[in-house]
Amino acid sequence: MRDNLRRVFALIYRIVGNVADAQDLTQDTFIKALARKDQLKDGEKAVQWLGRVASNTAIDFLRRKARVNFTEIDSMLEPLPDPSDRRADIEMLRSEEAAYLDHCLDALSVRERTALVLRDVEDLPASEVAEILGCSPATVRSHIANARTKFRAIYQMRKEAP
Amino acid sequence: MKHFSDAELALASRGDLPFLAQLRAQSHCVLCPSCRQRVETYRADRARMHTAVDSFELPRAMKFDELEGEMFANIRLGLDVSEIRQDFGREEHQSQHMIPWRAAAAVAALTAIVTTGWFLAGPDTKQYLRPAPAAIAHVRSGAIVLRGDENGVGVENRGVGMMLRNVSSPSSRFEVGLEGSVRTSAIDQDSGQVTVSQIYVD
Repeated sequence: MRDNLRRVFALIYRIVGNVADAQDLTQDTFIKALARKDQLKDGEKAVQWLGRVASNTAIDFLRRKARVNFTEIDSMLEPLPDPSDRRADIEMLRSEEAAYLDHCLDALSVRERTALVLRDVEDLPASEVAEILGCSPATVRSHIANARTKFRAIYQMRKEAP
Repeated sequence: MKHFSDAELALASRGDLPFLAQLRAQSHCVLCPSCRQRVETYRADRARMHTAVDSFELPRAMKFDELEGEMFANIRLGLDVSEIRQDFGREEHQSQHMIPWRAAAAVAALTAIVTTGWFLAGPDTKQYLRPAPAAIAHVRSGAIVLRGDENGVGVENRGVGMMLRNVSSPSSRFEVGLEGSVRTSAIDQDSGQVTVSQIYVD
C-alpha cells in the first residue's frame, strides 16, 4: 500500500487540482479498493486496477462537485474553479519543471486534463478512458488530441518566455 | 506532400488514430522529417508528464510523510467502519429471518421445562449459575481496569473512574488490544454514523 499511496495521490491531484481533495479521495480510493480486493483476479494488474479505482473516484467527485453532467462541464471554456489553495500550491512547488507542467495541465478543461492523465500517465487504452468518462471513443480521441496540442503549445510558450 | 495536422500527429504519437489513419500517418512520418519531429515532441511531452507524476512534489510547507501517516490512519479507520457497517448489515439481515412466533414459543416452553428439571434435580447448580460478567471486554493493568460494555468504554482506578458513553445506540463490537486497550464501536441506526471509542493503558 505504501508504494502505491504516493502514486495514487499524485494521479488524483493531477485530476482534481488541490491537496485537500486529493488527500480525501486517496483515502476513499484505498478504502474502496481494500474492501473490494476479492474482486481483483489477477494480482499482477493490481496497480492498473488501483489506478482505475482512483480515476473513477476522482471523476465521481468532480461530477458531484460540479452538480452538472460532463456534457455541461465540456461546455465550460475555463477549468472548474479550484479552491484558492491550488494557486498557492503551484506557486510553492519546488521544481520549475513541475510548475510548468502544472501550468499546462491547469490550462486544459477538466475533461481534457482527465483524458490526458488517464491515457498518457495511467496508460489506459482510449476505449477504457471513454468508458470511465462516459463518452464515445471518438469524443475521447478528440479530447486527447486537444489536450496534447494545447499542452504542447502552452509548454512551448512558457519555455520561450523570458 | 500533404502534411498531417497537429491533432492527427498528437494522436499518432501513441497509436490513438483509427487503424488505417494510423498506418497512413506512420508511413508519412517515415518520409517526412518535419512530421516525424512533431510526433517525437508529443512523445517527449508524455515522458515529461510521466516523470512529473512519478516524482510528485508537494508544496514546500507540506511534508508527504506527515500526510502519508494521516492518510494511513484514516484508511485504517475507514476500513474498520465499513467492516462494522457490514456486521451491522448482517445482523439486520439475520433478524429479518426470524423463526415464526409459534415455533419460538414452543421451543421456549420446552427449554423452560428442561432447565427447571435440571435445576431441581442437578447435584450442584451453584457452580453453573454464576452471574454474567457486566463488562464484555475487560483489561486489568495493575490497579487500572479498562472495560467495555454495551454502554461504552471506561477506565477505573481503585474504584474511581470515567466512562465514554455511547450516545444513541449500544455497542455492537468489542475489541481488546494486546498492548492493553479496549475498544467499542457503536452504529447509530438512524444516521449510520459509526462511533469508535478506544482507551489505552499508557
